[in-house]
Amino acid sequence: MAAAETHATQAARWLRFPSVRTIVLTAVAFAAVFVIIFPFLWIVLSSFRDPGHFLTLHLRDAVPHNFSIGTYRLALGRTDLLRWIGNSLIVALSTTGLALAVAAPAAFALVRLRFRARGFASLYLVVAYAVPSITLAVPLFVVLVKLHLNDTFIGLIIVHASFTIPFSTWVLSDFYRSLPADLEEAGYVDGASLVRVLRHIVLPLSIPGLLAAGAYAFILSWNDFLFALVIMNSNEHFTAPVGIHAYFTGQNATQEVWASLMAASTLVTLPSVILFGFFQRYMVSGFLAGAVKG
Amino acid sequence: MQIAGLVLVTPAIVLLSMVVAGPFVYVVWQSFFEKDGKGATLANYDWFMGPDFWPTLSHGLVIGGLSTLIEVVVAVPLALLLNERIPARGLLRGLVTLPWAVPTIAVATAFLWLADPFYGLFDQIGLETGVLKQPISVLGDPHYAIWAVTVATAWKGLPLVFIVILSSLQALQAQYLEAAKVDGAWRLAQFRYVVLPHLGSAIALSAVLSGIYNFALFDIAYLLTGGGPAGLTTTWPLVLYNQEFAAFDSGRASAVGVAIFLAGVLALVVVLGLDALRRRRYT
Repeated sequence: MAAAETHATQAARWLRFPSVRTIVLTAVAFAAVFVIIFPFLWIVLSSFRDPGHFLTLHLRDAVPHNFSIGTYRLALGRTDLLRWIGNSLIVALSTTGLALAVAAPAAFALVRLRFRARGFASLYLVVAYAVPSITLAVPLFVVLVKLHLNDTFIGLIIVHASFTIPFSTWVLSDFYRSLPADLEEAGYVDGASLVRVLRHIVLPLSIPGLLAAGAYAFILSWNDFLFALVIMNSNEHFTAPVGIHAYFTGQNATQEVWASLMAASTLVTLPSVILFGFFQRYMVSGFLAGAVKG
Repeated sequence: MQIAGLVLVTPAIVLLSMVVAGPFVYVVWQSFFEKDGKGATLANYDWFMGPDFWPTLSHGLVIGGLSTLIEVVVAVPLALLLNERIPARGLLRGLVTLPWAVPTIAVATAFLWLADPFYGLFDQIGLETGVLKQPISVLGDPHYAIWAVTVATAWKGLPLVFIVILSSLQALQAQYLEAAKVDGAWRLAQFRYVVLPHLGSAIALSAVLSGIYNFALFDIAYLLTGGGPAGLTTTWPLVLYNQEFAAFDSGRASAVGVAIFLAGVLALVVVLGLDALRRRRYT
């Protein structure tokens, strides 16, 4: 959308009757987007079926006739889903905190400070981003076992946080680049040290950038399956994705199992989708950096 | 400045060294040692001469390549469409990128559920409309399983390709299209000679990155089919997982891990090289 476009011209555009071309394009766009989000819509819709008649052979019963939250009751009652979600929260929130604590200073330094290792540090981020996760699964598992950090939250948090650092740093770099340096310079002129400038000027201004990078770190950690599968092996430490997987593969796919699977999948998807809905606009710079630099 | 910069960057470098660079060196090192052997050897790499090499490679290339092709073929028209001035454009763009945020476990649930032979929507619609004579298990069928994994992979990967292509499209300055219009170019000609060449690099780049990512993707195939039926959806990441966590052979698993990495590097070098040649021809 052009930056110069004002609300008035926007309103004028809306008041005009749309052309046939616009109507056709809009219809096609809505249809295409519906098809794309359908798999996700379908589990959400299925999660509201009556769990007593969850499995049906007839197409006419596929869409629930009346709204029921029985599947959710089933999922929370029959499995340790609440505990797994709690574990996921602990891991994802700690990952977010650690990733931001590390990525924000790095991003600031890369944008604002001139130092000799700067080029090396930028390159290091790109190279680290380029190594496939699966290649690292074996050595990370072996090393964590040696350090007795397998099947612990700390082990998983360190792994998740590290994998989010390149992206978080790029989102924050982009943010700092858009921030005028005048305020910091005013701080230096008034005799403040770098630490004071960071603490009292940069940090308060960083909050939007931190939210975007933090949302990314949270989603990545919350959604991760591979590392949680490799690192966690006891039920009380499972994160939600691994717990749901263990529950589903541990038995025959009966009506109750399918029903609770729909509810559990919907519940575990909601936090990521909501966060992403709020912050995706600010994450785009990171996606593009990943594509251009990677 | 010198010291402050170093101090601020150090925690990130240390963490990445511990979790990415260090383990990467370790995996390369480990790939040269056999399970019970003493000295360094290339024995772990003899798997690449064995009978499983080509089938597993071809599964990976089919899943990685075709899923990427689907992503690009869907993302380019979709980006063009959502770059037009239509109502609710922002909302629609947001919804297209939504699959990126859906956890893989829920992606797997959705596709397992849709593809269930008796209770799944695909089979029910197929049976009701007469397309199917009898229920089929898409994910258990030797012919269809790999396509199901491919589609699920493409679904998850579409948003990133879409975002890169849409951004590239937004960066195309209106004046070029205006110039083409003044010269009397039709919409199709504008697309062919102005928009498509402009998008070329974005498409090439997002496609090769997505292809590399999907080739190295473990969790969708693992959750949907576990590599079955009869190993027909087993890709290198699944071979690696089975070597490490079923056969407990870290040396062989490491060798596969190194191969996955090298395959990605090779693909990147080839595609970036070709793109550079293409650009030189245009300018």
